[in-house]
Amino acid sequence: MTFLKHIPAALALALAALAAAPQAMAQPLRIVIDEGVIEPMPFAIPDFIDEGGASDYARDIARVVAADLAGTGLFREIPAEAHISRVTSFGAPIAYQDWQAINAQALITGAVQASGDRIVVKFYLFDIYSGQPLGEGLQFAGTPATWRRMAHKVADAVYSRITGEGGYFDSRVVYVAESGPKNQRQKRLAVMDYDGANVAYLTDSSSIVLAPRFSPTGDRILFTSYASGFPQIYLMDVGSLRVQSLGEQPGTMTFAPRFSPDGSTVVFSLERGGNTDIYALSIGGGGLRQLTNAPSIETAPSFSPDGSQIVFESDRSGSQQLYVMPASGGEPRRISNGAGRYGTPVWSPRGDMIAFTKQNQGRFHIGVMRTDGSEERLLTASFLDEGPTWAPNGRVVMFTRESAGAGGQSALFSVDISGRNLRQIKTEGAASDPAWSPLLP
Amino acid sequence: MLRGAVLFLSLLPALAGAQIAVPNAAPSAAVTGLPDWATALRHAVAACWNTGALSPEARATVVTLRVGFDAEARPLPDGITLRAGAPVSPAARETYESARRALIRCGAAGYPLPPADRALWQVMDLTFDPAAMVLR
Repeated sequence: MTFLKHIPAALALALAALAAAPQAMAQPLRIVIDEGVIEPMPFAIPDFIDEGGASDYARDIARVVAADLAGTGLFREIPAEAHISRVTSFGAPIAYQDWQAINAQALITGAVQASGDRIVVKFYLFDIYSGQPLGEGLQFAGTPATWRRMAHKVADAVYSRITGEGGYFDSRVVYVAESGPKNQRQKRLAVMDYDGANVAYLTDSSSIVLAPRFSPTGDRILFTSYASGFPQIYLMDVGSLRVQSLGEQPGTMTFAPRFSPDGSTVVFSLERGGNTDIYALSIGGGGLRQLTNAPSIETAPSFSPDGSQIVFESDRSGSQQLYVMPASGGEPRRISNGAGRYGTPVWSPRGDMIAFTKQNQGRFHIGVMRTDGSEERLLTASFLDEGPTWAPNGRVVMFTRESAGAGGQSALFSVDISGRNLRQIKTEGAASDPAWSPLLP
Repeated sequence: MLRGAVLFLSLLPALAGAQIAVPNAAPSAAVTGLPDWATALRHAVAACWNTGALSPEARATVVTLRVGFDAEARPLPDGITLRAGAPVSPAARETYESARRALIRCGAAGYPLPPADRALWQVMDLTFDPAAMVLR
C-alpha cells in the first residue's frame, strides 16, 4: 500500500476561507479530503454459473476475467477459498455483508449457457460497499471458439466501469516470433491475444521479417520483409493471408511502414542512393509523396490519432532525435531534448503522449513524453529495451526486451505508463517487434 | 488532463465560499480551522480512499459529495450525492464512486463524531481532491 500526502494549498485555501466565513450561515461544513491510498482494488469473481452445457466455460471464463483484471496491477483477486458467500444462481440476491467481511470491494458474478455452436455469457458487477450493481448487466454471445474473447469483453466492461477508461483486453498483438541461435535467427510473423494466448503464425521462416503494424481496423498488417534480398514493405490481409508489395521502386529499400489513422495511407522510409527519407503512399492508388528531404536518416514515422501530424526520428542534428512535422510534410520541429539518443516514436491512441526508445550511457529505456517533448518519463531500463507499442486505451505500453550475451533472447514485456506493473508476456519462444491492434469489434 | 484542470479551478470559488454551519448551539469548531473531530473524520476517510484503479483523468478530477449521516455517525448510502452540474463526466463519476466506497467502507461502524455536535455533522460536504495528491 502506498500512502499519499497532500499538497496543502487546497486545504490552506479552505481554512483561510473558513476563517473569513461569517457565522450562522446554513451551509454544511465542508471538508477537503486530499489524502488517500493507492493499492490494487480487491475483487471477487466466483466461477460463473453453468446454465446448461457450459461447466468448463463457466470456470475458464471467470479465470480469464480474473487474470485480465489482476494483470493490470490495479486489481487484486480474493481467492475462492476466502469466499464466505456462495453464488448459486445468476439472479440470486447478493449477501453484501459476506463480501464486505472479506474486504471485497467489487464482485463479479456471471453465467454461461452453451447450446450447439453458440455460447452466451452474461455478468453483473456489484459495488459491495455501496450495496448495489455498478451499471447494468451485460450479455455476449459467440461461438465456442471465441470464449476467450467473450471473457476479455467481460473484463473490458468491468475495467471500464471501475476505472472510467476504455479497456484493452479484447485485442491482438502481431509480433515477430524468433527461433534458432542469435547469428542464424529465423523470424516469422505471428499474432496472439494481448496476453499471449491463441498464437497463429502468419508467415513461414523462409525470409526475415520485421516491424509488423496493424491497420486501424485490425484486418491488415504492414511489415518489412527481406524476401527479395533487400528490405521491402508488404501489406497482408489477415483473413486470407494474401500479401502484396507496396511502394516498390527499382534500386531502393523501403522499411518502417505505418498506417494513417484512416487506413488509407502508408508512411514509411525509403532509401535511395544512400539517403533515407520519409514518404507517403495511398494504398488505393496514387503517387509516392516525399515528406522529408534531408541528407540525414529520417525514419520510424508515426501519425497522430487525428492524422494531422507525424512524429519520426532523424539524425539531422548529429544524433538520433525525435521530430514532429505536418502530415503533408514541411518544417519539422525537434521535441526531444534530453541526453542520449531517441528513436522509434509512437503516438498514443489518446493523442496526448509519445512513447519512444531512448539510449543513454549504455542503457536502453522505454519512455513517454508529451507531444511537445515536455514531461519526459522513463518507464524502464535494461541492457536492451526497444520498439514500444500502445495498448488501445493508451494506458499500457508493450515492447521488446533483449537479454545480454551470446545466448541472449528477445521477449515481450508490458508496463503501465506510470512505470508500474512491468510484466513479461508469455510467448512460445523468443519474440520481438510487437504491435498492438485496436480493440476488436 | 484539461478537464481535471478546469474542474480544479472551478473548485476554488467553491472553497472561497466554504462555511461552517453554526446553528444555535455554540460550535466546537474553531473559526481558524477544522474541529478536531472533522480532522479525525478526514483522516479516517482518507485511509479508505483507494485511488489506485482510477484513470489518469479521474485522478485529476475533484468532486464534492454531500453526505448525510445517521445518529450513529454512519453515512447513509442513499444520502450520498454528487454535487455537480449536469452532465457528469465519466471521470467525475469514477472519482465519486471511489469516494463513496471509501465513505461507506470505513463508516460501517460509525465515525467518531461527537453527538453534541450532530447539528454540524449530520450533513456535510466532502470534497475529494485526488489532483492534490503526491506520492509520499
